[in-house]
Amino acid sequence: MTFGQEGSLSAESEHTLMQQLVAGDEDAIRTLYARFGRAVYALGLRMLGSAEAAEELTQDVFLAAWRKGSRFDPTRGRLSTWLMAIAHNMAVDRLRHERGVARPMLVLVDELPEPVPGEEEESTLIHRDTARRALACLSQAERQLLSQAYFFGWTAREIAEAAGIPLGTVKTRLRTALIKLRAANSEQAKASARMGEGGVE
Amino acid sequence: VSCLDVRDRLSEFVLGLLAGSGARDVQRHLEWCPGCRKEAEELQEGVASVALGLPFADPPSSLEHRVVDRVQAAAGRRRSAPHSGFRLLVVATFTAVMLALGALAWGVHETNRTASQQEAFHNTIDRLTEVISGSASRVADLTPTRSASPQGRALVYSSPKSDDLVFVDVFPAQAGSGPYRFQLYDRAGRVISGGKLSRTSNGDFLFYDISSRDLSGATSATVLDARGNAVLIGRLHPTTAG
Repeated sequence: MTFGQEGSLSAESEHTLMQQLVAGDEDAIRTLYARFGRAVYALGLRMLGSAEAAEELTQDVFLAAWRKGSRFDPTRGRLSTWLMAIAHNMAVDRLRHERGVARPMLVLVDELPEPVPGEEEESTLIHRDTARRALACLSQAERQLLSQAYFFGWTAREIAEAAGIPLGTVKTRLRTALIKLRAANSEQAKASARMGEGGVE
Repeated sequence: VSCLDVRDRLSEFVLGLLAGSGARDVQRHLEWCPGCRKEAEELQEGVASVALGLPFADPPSSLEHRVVDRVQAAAGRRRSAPHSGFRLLVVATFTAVMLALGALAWGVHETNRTASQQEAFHNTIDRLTEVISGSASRVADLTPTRSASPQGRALVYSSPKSDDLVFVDVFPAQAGSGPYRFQLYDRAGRVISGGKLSRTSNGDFLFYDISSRDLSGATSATVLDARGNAVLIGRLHPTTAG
């Protein structure tokens, strides 16, 4: 099976792609990289702060994807979710290793990207477009909270202590933000599916 | 842990903020609880949006090749292991080199000990590199952390066709030094190989390990003294020979 670099893959295609990746198939590696290489690299650049570290992370993430590929279960989530979770966890591990127990200074700015309309080519960007639209549904406070947790690895307790708000409130807001993102993603997927059924290319 | 406890920690779990037993407790619960697992999967989709929503950055064009090479090398290692013929060749050569090193060391004049032994080690590296030329072998010049620290070098050989190999030689600055331990680290600082160095008859300390462990991710090496203090440190770089 061959895979295009545009559009979403079906769960079956994602499963097949990962099977081919595990087998070391070059086309499968290149397909996965074409779809997610830039996203993983961007995440590494954003979290680790240097091109060198981002390149190392990208290589390690795809190697980890190969190692863990047989465990990928398309019935439990999309390939993009699975792969970016690997990337994020590896980046957080490196941040913690580099910084030890010390946490970075809390940066009280909105770290999450503003949902800007796509300024890049269409190929491979379907996930990002969906994600950006989803991020647009968050309030400024939710984006900031999620940023502190996601990019800086702050725990809910650390955020609560730094911001002087109850721990329970932080946890609730984090969950609410993630649920909002997920719901927005689902809506986007349904809308895309409707467009597809309507014959829109 | 109960579903209530897990739900309370689920956001932090999917954000990778739980560590140690906290993460393990949640993970174990998710393995048997479909309700909490479904919630975790939904939250995880939200988490992925954060990364996927970042403005893309263009990596260097060579990165794709490096990714393909690393994955294919790892996949090849799995498919071909054990590759007994090549492994035997490496082991045989390695053994011969070790013997040669010992023989050379016996002939070293005491006043010129370190320089000669370093030269011997360079010869060792060269000979070993001849065998594994074109493959992923890297060497580290180990830098003393103190003036009285020993000197040494480390060689790491990683190939998809055979077991990986790490070889370390340490030359004590003064008699009676040691014992020493060696540790090899990956980029994340995890120890991926290591052990106690053995004292040879000529006073050197050697360590080698040939195993199926993947050492391709090794980036740095450290020699520790009996108190656990780092006495030699170095970063691995590709060998120039071959």
